[in-house]
Order: sequence, then C-alpha cells, then structure tokens
Amino acid sequence: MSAAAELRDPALHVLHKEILFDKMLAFSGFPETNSVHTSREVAAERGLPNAIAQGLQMYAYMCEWLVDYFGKDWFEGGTLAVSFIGIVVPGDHLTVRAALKESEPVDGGVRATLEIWCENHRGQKVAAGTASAVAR
Amino acid sequence: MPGDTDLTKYFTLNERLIEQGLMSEDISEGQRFEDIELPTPWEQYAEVRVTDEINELYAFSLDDDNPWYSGDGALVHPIALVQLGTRPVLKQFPVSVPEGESSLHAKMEVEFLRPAMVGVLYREEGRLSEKYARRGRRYLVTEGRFLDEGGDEVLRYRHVRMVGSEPSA
Repeated sequence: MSAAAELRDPALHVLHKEILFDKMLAFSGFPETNSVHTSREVAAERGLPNAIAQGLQMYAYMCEWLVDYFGKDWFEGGTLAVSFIGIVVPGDHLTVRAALKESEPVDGGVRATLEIWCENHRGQKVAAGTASAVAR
Repeated sequence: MPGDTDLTKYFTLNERLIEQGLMSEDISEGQRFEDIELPTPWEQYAEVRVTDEINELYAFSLDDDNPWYSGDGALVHPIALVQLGTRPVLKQFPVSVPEGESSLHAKMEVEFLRPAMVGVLYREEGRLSEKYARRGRRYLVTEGRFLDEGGDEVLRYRHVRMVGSEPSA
C-alpha cells in the first residue's frame, strides 16, 4: 500500500480456492483420524455428508486475501473476526470477497474496516466477518 | 496434484506436531458445561517455534505461495500460531458434548499485533473466559495470547466453540 494510502476497491480483488481432501488432511493433522476433518467415517457417524474442512482453513484463506490487500501492514495491527456459518467439503470451490465498510484517517495512513466473506460455488456464504487494518 | 512423497512429508510433520500437543482433534469428553467455573487464570500452556518446514506445510495445504513465508527473515504464516496455538489451550478445558453431536468451531477473532518470525520461540498463555447459550446451543470462549522473548504480545485471539445443544426443558 502506498504512503498516500489510496485504498483500492476491495471488490476488485477476489481469491479462489479449490477444496481437496488431500490438502484438508495435511492441514488438519492426518494421520490422526478421529476428527470430522480427517475421516469421512467419523464425519458420517456424526451425521455429516462428508469430511468437512476446518473453519480455520477458511480463516487462512481470508488472511491470504488480507495480506494480498494490505501487504505487510496487515501483520502490524490487522484484526479479523469471523463466524463459521456453513460446512465446506472436498470438491467445493470457494471464493473470498470483501467490501469496504468504513475508512478513517489515522496517524500515518488510513484505517480500513472491511466486510469479508468466503462463499462456495453455490453462492452460499460459509464464513463471514469483519477485518480491519491500517493501510500506510 | 502432489505425489505420495509430498504427502508423506506433511503427514510425518503432523505426527510430530501431534506428539508435541500442537495439533489434534476431538475434545468431546470432559467437564459438564454446567460445572465449568469462569474465568480461569491466565496460564502458560505452550511454546511454539514455527520452522520453515511448518510454513511449507501451510503453503502446500492452503495453496498460499507468498514468498514472505520462506527464505531468510521469513514471516510466520498468519494461520500458524492461530492453529497450533488453539489446541494446547483447548485441551486444558475439555467439556462433554451430547452423544451424537460434535464440538464445532463457531467463531474466531485474532489481532495480529506484530510480525511473527520463523525460528523465534513464542510463549503462549491462555484461559477459558466465558460460556453462554444462544438459540438452544451452548458456547465456550477460550482466549490466548503469544508473547515473544521480550514479553511483547505478538498475537491475541478469541476462540468460540459450540459444544452442543442445551438440554430439553
């Protein structure tokens, strides 16, 4: 982000991810298999249609979007609050999007507050929340 | 698609992280929700040093190839302390979940206060801070914070888990 802190339109930045079971396993601690994230059998026992991705996997995608948008400024005072509102299963295609909620000048830059969400290929939000950081 | 060798490497790393208590699941047996007393005092529950290998695990599993997470002066991937840090604290406060139900991560709030660096040892303190019921479901709130060797806070989080339905009246 430039010193002039011209905020880019967050709507112009979109992040796409494909959910693969192998990568879910790597992220969620396989070879441990007693969880709904690493075992389709455990997931079925608990009434789920498939193994489901950890909420933190979506959280990580949203962090990636925010690092892309704010740059290294993100690591110095960035905040992200997210509710996990839908399940994500292998084969889903996710998209992270955001919209500017408010901005205010602060010492050395602009504090931007964004609405940010992760939606699946059916257009359903699976995680949503608010992020904030100073763009310098 | 990765080959088998790649996956074996990551699964072997996961085994080590599980042994260290930094990565595991299923905390469905424990204290009754009604019996939990809050808040618990802040206590140290873990020390975490993120390595190049751990950052590589996240780069692979998340398809995040940002060059800031590798090489000299690499930053810790933003999810690393969050994911590896929540488990050691959650394990201290197991709670019973009704049969046939799962404990689910409902909400996560993180403040990234300063950049965390690969190879640096961070100390984690945590506590169980809150419990509540909403729309027939029960929730527990765990808080954690990572401090560097100088005692400065690097990251702070609030983790909310849904631990099952309220009993029928």
